[in-house]
Amino acid sequence: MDEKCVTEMNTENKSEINVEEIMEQIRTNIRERGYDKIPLSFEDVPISQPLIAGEVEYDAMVLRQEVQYLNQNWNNNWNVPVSGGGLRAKFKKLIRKLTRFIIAPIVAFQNEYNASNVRAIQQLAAYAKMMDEYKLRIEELEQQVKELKQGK
Amino acid sequence: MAGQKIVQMLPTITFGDGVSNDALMMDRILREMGYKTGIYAQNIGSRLPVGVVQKVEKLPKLSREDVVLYHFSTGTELNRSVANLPCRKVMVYHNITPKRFLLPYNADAAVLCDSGRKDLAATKDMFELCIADSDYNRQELLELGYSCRTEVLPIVIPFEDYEKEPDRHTLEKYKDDKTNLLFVGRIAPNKCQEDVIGTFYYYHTYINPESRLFLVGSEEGMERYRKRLEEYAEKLGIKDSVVFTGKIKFAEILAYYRLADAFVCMSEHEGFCIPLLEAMKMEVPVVAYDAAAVGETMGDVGIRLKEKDLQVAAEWVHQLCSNEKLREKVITDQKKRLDFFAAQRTEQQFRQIVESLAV
Repeated sequence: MDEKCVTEMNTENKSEINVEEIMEQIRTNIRERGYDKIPLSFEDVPISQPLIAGEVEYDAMVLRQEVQYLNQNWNNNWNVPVSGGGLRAKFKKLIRKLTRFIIAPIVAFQNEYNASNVRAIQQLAAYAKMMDEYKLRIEELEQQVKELKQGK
Repeated sequence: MAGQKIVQMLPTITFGDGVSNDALMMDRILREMGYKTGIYAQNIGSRLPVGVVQKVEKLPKLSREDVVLYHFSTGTELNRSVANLPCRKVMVYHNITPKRFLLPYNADAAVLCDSGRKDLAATKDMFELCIADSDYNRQELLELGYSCRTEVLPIVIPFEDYEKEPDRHTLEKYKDDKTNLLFVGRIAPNKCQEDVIGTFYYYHTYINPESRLFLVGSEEGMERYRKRLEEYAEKLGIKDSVVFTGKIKFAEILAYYRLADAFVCMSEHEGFCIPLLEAMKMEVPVVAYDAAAVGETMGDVGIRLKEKDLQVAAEWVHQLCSNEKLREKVITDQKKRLDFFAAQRTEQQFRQIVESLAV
């Protein structure tokens, strides 16, 4: 056993417990039991990636598709076309006109908010793209380091 | 003191955890001392009695003479907003896990802790007094350049709660002649449960196959680490003898302590480590790696390992389980150690600190 391995316990009453004797017993036990090195280091167990609640896995393709969708659909028009004709359509148009003063500002605010969100997400997408490029560059450099170590 | 308010603020308060118990104890004493007080938190656990804690937004207007006791334990915008309050500020420092432990398993948690540590450094001139759970925590503040008055005030543990009835079902489930090793604490990489498993591997494989290990604690946010631990136990061939309980009720925790023959702690970062004292209270002998605040909390009782040698740890477990005289001596000394952490003593110390803040 490594001599540096010091163990401490209260030795106030040495007549009761002989710590040195116990340590000697421990050393003897370790010798006699023939302990092998632990067969597996914790570092050898890979970290699996089950997702934690609220997390999603990064997928560059999904990100690009979603950003494209957001770019095309962030702006909503309050003036929804009325389908059909006759009295029913006229009634719908009247309702639309009467509620315009409520709906229009809400939709305008929502559009501003959406635009801000889209800009933020575009920034994040650009950042993710940059990270993807860095990742490739790191892989390249790692390969070069490996080759240099191998003396190629 | 007339009219002086001393209020507490903290990011999160829940039922039963150490920091929350500490805040509740302080609240009770402040009330007893006649102060206008209250606890204000960003997140309030559902199991706390209604009205005990209020949302931070409800914080009353504070004057220059009033005091905020701020429990600093993580990264949150509250850290800096407290520093900007127009009153006197006292920090209660509970330590923050270094990000290096968390990063491989939960980047969000790592970022949170990292930002907490940055806030801690940035607010070093904002507090007139810092109360630390342990001298280890106090030293961290001093190393960061804190020059204000600092005091060490241990966390209050409601030891009387440990005399309650343990969960019968759990006791029945594991009622056999096996030797039970125990560690209690969140499943978290700084607590190094892999080394507890490693110790158990040696004990189970070379010393006593009629044994099992209980790892008691919540895995919330550390699911990847827990999975890795399970795989490690599986690859070592001891999976069936290692029990992960997850988050459980207090009565069940008591049952595991009751079942335990030895408590094994291999943690590398603890600001205090309440379970060591819980084990002492429950008459379970402790074998612990002496890192961070562990040695300070244990004092000179139990078995403290200066080096992390898992074979030696397993042999000490064996000694504690087989040498009756040693076991009795360790348990008796451990119980004496609890006097140092008696609620009355800590509460008295807190009263003195509060008196020093009176105007």
